[in-house]
Amino acid sequence: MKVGVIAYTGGNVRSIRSALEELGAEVVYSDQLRMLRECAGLVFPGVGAALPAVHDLRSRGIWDWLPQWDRPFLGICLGMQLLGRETEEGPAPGLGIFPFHIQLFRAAVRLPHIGWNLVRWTQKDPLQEGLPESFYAYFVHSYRAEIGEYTIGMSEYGEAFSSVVRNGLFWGTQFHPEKSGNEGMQLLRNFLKLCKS
Amino acid sequence: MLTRRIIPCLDVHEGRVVKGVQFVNLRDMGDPVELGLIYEALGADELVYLDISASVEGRRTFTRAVERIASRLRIPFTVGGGVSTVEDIRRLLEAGADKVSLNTAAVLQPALLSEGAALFGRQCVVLAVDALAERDGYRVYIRGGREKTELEAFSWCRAGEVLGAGEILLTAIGRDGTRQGFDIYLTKKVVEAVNVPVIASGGAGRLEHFLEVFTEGKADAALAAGLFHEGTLTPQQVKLFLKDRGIAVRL
Repeated sequence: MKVGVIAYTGGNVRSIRSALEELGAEVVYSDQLRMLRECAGLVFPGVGAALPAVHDLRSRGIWDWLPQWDRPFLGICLGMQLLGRETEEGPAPGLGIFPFHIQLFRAAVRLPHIGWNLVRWTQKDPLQEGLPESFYAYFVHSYRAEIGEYTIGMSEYGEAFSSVVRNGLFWGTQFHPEKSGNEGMQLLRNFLKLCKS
Repeated sequence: MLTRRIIPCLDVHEGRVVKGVQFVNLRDMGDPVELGLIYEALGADELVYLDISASVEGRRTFTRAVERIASRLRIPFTVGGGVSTVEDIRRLLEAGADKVSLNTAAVLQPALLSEGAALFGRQCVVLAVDALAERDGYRVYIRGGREKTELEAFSWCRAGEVLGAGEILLTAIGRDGTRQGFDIYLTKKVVEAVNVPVIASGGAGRLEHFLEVFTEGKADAALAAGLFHEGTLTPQQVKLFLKDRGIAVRL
């Protein structure tokens, strides 16, 4: 099964690619629309800065096309943040798939928020299969999405924020599942299962 | 709640993990990927790999090792050692490192911190500071602790944060290898001086040392090498000890 990993400026993607491959996916790592649209699912990895990412994706026609995607989609870290309305980082526009606004943590003492923090599921979801009610995941970010009806997992760092979100076939995680040990791998396994069905 | 991190550090020479005192009498410890996977299984929250090769060929071998590590490891890792240009940072991040640490180069060309942060995001720029207690305060040393600079440790850490460092790896070089415990005063002062996470390093020898560096030292993470490599303690043992004493850790 082909899973696309969207290539863009600043993306360090070796870990997510190898994690998906380890789980049996055939990874299509590309910045070309015609390659990505053939995939059973898409992963939007998250590293680097927001604005260059938006420019890069726009120039390839991927940005404007993404909201029409009708198969499973997983945005990770920045890849999740860019699914919202806009982000203070840059500032940069978002895809508007989620209604959240990405803002700098308001109450945190120390930024970036780096390390392992607890993720607690707040709604039942196929991504949760085989995972406990709460688990540790690896975060590295300074901006966060507020809690909303799209929140299916939450975490706390000075304030509560969305760590897993969902709208239809679009999912997003603020943490890096590819860096979150066995639990992260289980979440990716669950996502691949969704791509298959 | 954000947990405190336990980070084993591995020295890599010509693509192999080595152990030695002051870079002499290097003893082969094994493959960086295999050892990394063992530490991941033993509860490490993160790893640091330091390239101590001096040759161009050694650097190339290290980059290939970073690619292999990123393909197998499922926890984050930082790489450092001999990073002196934006291109070095780019090469290591593209190879799959999560963060790159800068030490000597950051002192010699502080702009490297801001350029790195602007290009790749501050979350992947780690400022490594080697500090030594002297009569007039803590001084910053470079070139593996061999050369003293004019910089005072606390103000350098603050400056590094302003320039773009997203994390500080603070080593009390007077404690390194002594097993006498972390430099609590130094750690606490740096933690209070900056707003980015601080990793304390140098001197870990017993379980209590980790407790101290988190409670009194207020460190966000603690790094150790020898005591893990020799099997005196595992990261998991340290974390169980900490958990029993009310410190949030990932178990």
